[in-house]
Amino acid sequence: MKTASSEITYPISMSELTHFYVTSGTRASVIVYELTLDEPLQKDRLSQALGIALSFFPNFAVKLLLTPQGLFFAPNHETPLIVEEDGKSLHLG
Amino acid sequence: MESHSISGEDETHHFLFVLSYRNNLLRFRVHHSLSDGRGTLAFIKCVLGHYFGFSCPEVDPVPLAKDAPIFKPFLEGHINPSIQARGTFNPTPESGVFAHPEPRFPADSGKARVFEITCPMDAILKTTKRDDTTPVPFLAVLIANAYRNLYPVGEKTIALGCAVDYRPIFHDDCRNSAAGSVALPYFNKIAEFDLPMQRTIMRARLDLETQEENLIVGLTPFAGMVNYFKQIPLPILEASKIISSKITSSASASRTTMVSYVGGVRWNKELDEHLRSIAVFYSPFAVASYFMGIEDQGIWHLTCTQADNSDRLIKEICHLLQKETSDVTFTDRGIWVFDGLYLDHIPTIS
Repeated sequence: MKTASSEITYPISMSELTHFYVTSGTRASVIVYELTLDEPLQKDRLSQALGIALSFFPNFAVKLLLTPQGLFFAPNHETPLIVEEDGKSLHLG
Repeated sequence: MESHSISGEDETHHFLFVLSYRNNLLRFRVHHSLSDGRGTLAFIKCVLGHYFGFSCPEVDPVPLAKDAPIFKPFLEGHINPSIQARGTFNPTPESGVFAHPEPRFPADSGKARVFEITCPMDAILKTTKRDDTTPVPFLAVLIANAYRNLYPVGEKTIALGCAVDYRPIFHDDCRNSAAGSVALPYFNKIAEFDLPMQRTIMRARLDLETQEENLIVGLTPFAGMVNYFKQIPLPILEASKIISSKITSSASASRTTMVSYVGGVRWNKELDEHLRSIAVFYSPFAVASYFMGIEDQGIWHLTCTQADNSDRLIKEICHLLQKETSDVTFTDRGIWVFDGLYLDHIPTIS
């Protein structure tokens, strides 16, 4: 687990940012960032912000396809997934 | 058009990242094929910026749409919807996966001696005691130290750590495609822009660890490039040639080592041959594991290739690694045959 709080440049009120990789399980190399804000998150705002961010970072809005011609990224027109965790189980990777 | 993503499609709606939250806690899980840690952080900053009502001034809108060149092969309907990724994979010589009965190129070029280093990546990252988010710099330093131990002082040596990962590679198509015409001019920019910075970073790390003036390590983090050059597909072969040649020519190196931490690339013969020609180590297992979803992702399989004294070198590296962490084992797996075309081994359903 790596702390990378020094890289944050936005004046956002948060208490913690951690960054680590998940290297076990069936998903290789999943990068995980955890942020603890100073206020409870609001899903509507989060969804809206995510939608905007994806327009800036379309490379995060792709799906990966395995084809006879090789590995490709393709546009993803689904709704981004935002999950409210139950606090009991946490499955990383 | 029906298709299959290879990772978590049922859980994530085909997205390779999941955003989850609970009370004040926000968690981004991003598959490394989408971005590296640095790129993910930029994305997170953008999300948070808009969440809190800030603008996102450092990121310009990317003119990417469904007709962008990067998606062209896909949209032209070349997909066989019957392909599915295999869920299990047994990376042993007996499995046949790496012992191709009909090699696609001369058999001797596909032979390599495999040294299996089992070492959890977490242990490596903890060992570095820095904010590294990838083992490549650490491994590059390790190689540099191994060179120092094996070769005479004063001999100019380069250890080129090359993180070849991440982007969809339209390598074969690039030169003649619209994507290639857009992407290729950026390669010189990549070399000019990023090489000095990375060399400075690695130089600083080396100075800390070795105090050795004749060791130079360059790192080419292709994974981060998308954040500089937007959604440009990176034919890593061309880029790695440019960067490695620039480093080599500028330093008058007598030896070059490339560490490739490969994942998410469109593997093919030319890329494989190129890596073999300039690299001492690369990790074809990383490619296989990426596609196959095998367990034990923390295991590194380092493969000796055509470089001289590579057996000695990799043993020295293992020795140094064992000094750093006790959580490492080393096994000589002997000579294996690789063909590099691992996609061909994925079963298709007709």
